[in-house]
Amino acid sequence: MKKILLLSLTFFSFFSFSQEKYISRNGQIQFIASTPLETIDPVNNHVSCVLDTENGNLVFQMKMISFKFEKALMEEHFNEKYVESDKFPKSTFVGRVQNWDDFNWNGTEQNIVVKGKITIHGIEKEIIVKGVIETSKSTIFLSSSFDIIISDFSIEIPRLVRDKISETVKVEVNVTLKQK
Amino acid sequence: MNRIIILLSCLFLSFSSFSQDNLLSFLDDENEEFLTFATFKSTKIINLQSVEQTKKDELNFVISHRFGSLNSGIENLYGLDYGSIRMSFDYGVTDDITVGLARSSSYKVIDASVKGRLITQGKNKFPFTIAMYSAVFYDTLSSLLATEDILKNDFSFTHQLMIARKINSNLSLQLSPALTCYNFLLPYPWIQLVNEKMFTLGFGGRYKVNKSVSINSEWIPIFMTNSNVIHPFKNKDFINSFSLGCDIETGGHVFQLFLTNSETMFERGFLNETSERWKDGGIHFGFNISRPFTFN
Repeated sequence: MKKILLLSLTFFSFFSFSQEKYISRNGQIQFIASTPLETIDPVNNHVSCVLDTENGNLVFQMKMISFKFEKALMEEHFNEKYVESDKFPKSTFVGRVQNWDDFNWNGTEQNIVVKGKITIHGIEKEIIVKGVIETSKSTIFLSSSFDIIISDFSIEIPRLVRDKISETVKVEVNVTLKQK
Repeated sequence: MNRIIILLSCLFLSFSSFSQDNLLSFLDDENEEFLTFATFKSTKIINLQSVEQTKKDELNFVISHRFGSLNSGIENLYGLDYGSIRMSFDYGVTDDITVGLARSSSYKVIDASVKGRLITQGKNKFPFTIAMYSAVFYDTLSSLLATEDILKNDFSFTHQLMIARKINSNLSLQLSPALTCYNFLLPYPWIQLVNEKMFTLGFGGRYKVNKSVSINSEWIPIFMTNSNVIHPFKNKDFINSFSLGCDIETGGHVFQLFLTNSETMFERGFLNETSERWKDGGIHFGFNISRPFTFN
């Protein structure tokens, strides 16, 4: 009897858990660190994201090695020398939509404010960013654009190439979430 | 009864704490694999081919230079007065297949090669990156010198397997067994005893000192000719290639600077035909400079 009770509770909790999650494994994040000397605008098309529509909790996760650069050598330097993808393979964001209570499913574009912790290169930092959320039948679109500063994440840029890489990096996020 | 309460409270506790961080573990993929990258900085360790490939749609132009030997005296500025050169063009057909064409000034050899990566470390948890390299050499100088009776065929071949492991982000090691087939006898008196089939076993490695500089070394003993086993230390006929140097990486280039007892820069030559010894000062200063050009 005890076991049955416990098992049913466990199943119930799992069941209710999976109902409210919207997920994507092929979200897109692009960052732009271009300067007049060099174009740097790699895209990562394998970003994972989950939104819990019950409470507005939102997480992102991506492999740094999935960023595709125009120049292969640049991609290698990015992974090997700057973000050290073998030591810190993933970047994450863990946070919550602050104005989630205002959210409604009527299909219009709504502005959101997301607050949470972003982790790049093993360094965690609190950020607040603005974004846009839009719903259709069974999907949710999220987009955002914000700036981060390279040195905040203790990523060192050698003096030799400092003029070629922008110190402030623009990050553009676009994900389409589907109900799990 | 107490147990139930504890269990239930645990369950609820875990349920209620099922928040942001747990949402992250929700994304974890068990089958996720991380392929090793940048085992070596360059497509060569020093003379030996590394497991690294020229990337797809990229043309890698490599200029290699070996100065004369250190023991040639002050009147030749310890070898710096002389030099031989090799120019090579490697093109990445895919990320795993490279074709190359090169010309060396020593013995005026033209070589064409193909290099393929068979498996990358990390794929299905495989512990090594394995690649192969095959090259054909055309000896334009020996064709000029040789008489009809010793010249069977102007071509010679080297086939090589590269097995490498990136042990950590700084240390990478490689093992390179190779077979060279000569279809002709070399008409040079200073290269003796080279047989039709030569087996060599290359050991190579690099250690990264900082993000842009690594120390590289390689040693390539000849261990068999035709079917005769050769002792790597005790034989008097063959000299094994040994090189020591460093890789320096700047924005778009990799510079490799080193000392080696092999003057030739194509595989057949440095694997089997090394004729100078470190202990006699038969050491050459050399460098490789590579510059990739992207087409896409």
